[in-house]
Amino acid sequence: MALWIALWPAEPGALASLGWWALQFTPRVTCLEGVIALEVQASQRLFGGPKKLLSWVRQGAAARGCLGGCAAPTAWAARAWVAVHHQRPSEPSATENTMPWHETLQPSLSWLDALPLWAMPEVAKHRDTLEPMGCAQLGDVRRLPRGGVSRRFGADLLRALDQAHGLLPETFTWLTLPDEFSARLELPGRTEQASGMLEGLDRLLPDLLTWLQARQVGAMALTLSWRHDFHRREAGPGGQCTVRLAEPSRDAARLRRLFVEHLAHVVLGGPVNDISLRADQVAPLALHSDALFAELASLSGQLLREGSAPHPSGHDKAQGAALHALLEHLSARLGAEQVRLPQLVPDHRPEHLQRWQAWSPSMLASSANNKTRSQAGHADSQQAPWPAPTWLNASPLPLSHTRTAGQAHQPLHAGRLRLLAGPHRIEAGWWDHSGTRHAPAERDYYLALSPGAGLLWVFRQRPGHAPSAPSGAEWFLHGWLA
Amino acid sequence: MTEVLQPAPLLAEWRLLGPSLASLVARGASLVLIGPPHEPHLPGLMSWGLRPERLVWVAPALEAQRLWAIEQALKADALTAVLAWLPQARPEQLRRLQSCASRHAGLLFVFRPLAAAQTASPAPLRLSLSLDAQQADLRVRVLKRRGASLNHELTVAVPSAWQRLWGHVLAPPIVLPLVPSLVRPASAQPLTPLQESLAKHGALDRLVAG
Repeated sequence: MALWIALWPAEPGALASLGWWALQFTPRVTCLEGVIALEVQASQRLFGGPKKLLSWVRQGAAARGCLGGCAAPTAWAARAWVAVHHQRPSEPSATENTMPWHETLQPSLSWLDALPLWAMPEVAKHRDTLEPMGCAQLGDVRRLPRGGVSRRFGADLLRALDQAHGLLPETFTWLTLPDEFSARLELPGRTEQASGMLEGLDRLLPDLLTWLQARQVGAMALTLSWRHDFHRREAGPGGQCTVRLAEPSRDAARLRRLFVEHLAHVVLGGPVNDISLRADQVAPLALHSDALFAELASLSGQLLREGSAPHPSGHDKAQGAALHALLEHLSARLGAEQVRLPQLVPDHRPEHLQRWQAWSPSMLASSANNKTRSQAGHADSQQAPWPAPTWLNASPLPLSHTRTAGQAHQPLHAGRLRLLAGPHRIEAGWWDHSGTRHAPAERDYYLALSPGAGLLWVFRQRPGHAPSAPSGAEWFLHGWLA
Repeated sequence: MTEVLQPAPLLAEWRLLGPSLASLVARGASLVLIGPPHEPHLPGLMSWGLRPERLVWVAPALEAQRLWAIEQALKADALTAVLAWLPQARPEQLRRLQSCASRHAGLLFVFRPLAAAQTASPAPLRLSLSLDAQQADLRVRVLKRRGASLNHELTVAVPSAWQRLWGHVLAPPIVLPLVPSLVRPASAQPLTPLQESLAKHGALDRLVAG
């Protein structure tokens, strides 16, 4: 005896998504005239027995806003019960959280006979004829002479009844998960603001998440496209907005937040009433345990205490993912150029020694390579014999200097500078002619002390070697040792 | 949330924070610099033991965007030490940050000009930094802390990392050929007993803890 569960979706549009969700329990899921039916006989043991499995399905379905559910030995019987109790709620006072649910693990289908005629579409078709004949319930129809019923109403009615009672085998076309996700939604009203589309997005995102979960992947790139209801001449038929993620994700809050940031920059060409969401790129998602954040929280607590043991690398990975989620959010709002990650470049000129790159989603993948390189650079710098500034002036600031007769020039910056160490001569970049900023550098660096500005990193342009600044300055402030 | 006031935008912040940030970074935290007035220079930061792959420089154009970025960094799950430069922040904005920071697992340091010392601030710990005339010592004034107020100035001898790295460079005073009077040998001033007791790093932590 099979065990079927029928689920009535909250709205007709949610049928497919409910089916995708049900695929986690069994591969045998089918659509039966507006109802999702799943056959879970073979899955009972995996989920710990029929009672447990049913309670899983029931809780999950209730959380997804299902209007009713029934477990029965045949699909059509389950559907009939759900159809009756959905269309005529047995307890009108029932809150939304408690969906009507019928389950019987007995093979008996005696309750089926007590259902009204319209519970089964095949019978409901002939309701106008059957009711005057004194048939009010499915059982009444079954008790009619079979030969006469078959001649009067056709073979379909009897077959449907027999299938519902498990006397004839049922055939189904099973639901399969589409290879690509693309969902369209008509908005309840026209919206002139890009942010007005978020409401529609909120209804599409759960479907997307279900699909991602069923495929066990995370989204890497999503496109939200919209069509203008009626468009002005200058505005096209619609537009679209693509969101790229640093790493695969199926975190609804994160995806929504990114769309919020991206849509904030969008100006609609006309009113929109139709949106669609497409998953352009997906990637397998490394699964974490549910305890991830609990662990993280306790870990950070530990970190702040003195003398905690070094943490395992798994947390490192979780940390990296959390950081990239943050950077993704920041760069979506502030612009990619405003969020920068450093990279070391082998060069002697301080301004070319590092490169700050705008953050991009692809950086997560390449961060593993950077790590080894930067660690090598790290080791070098530890042995560097020369102090390096912690801040760099992007364009060296020309300094004025004293002009006392008989004495050398003394540079000024918030008072007279006292040179503590130097010179450290840098003569590099003569091979580089790509632009003005890349002029050859011939400089003597000094560590200087300013009474007002702390330790400075100044250089003196070697006279006669390099083109001096327009002001004729010799000394430049290039960095701070804070 | 810790507020650090300095007479110049960039003065001695790494000297104060370097060792503690390095230990936090070594344990997996990331360092987020929000709106520093100049470009962070990696070799200098690495000499403090801060790994480049743990650094993020966020450079929003507007003060409001800075505040927003700080707030997001504090709300994120990532363990971060956030260093933010907020020359014009208003007390109510700081209060908002403070309430976010109190729920954040990492650290938040806000750098503001010395003039901000006159106005009230919700930060539970406010420090003002200055360098002494010889620039060898870092002077820390605790403007506000949990517990009784602390009115005297603390002098922290340059943290060990600074001297370890550059001591040998500084050892002989540099004498430029033409300017014999330019550099005077650093005169060693005797430390008062209080200063002596504070010279070890960590003494500041205890005083700040109140």
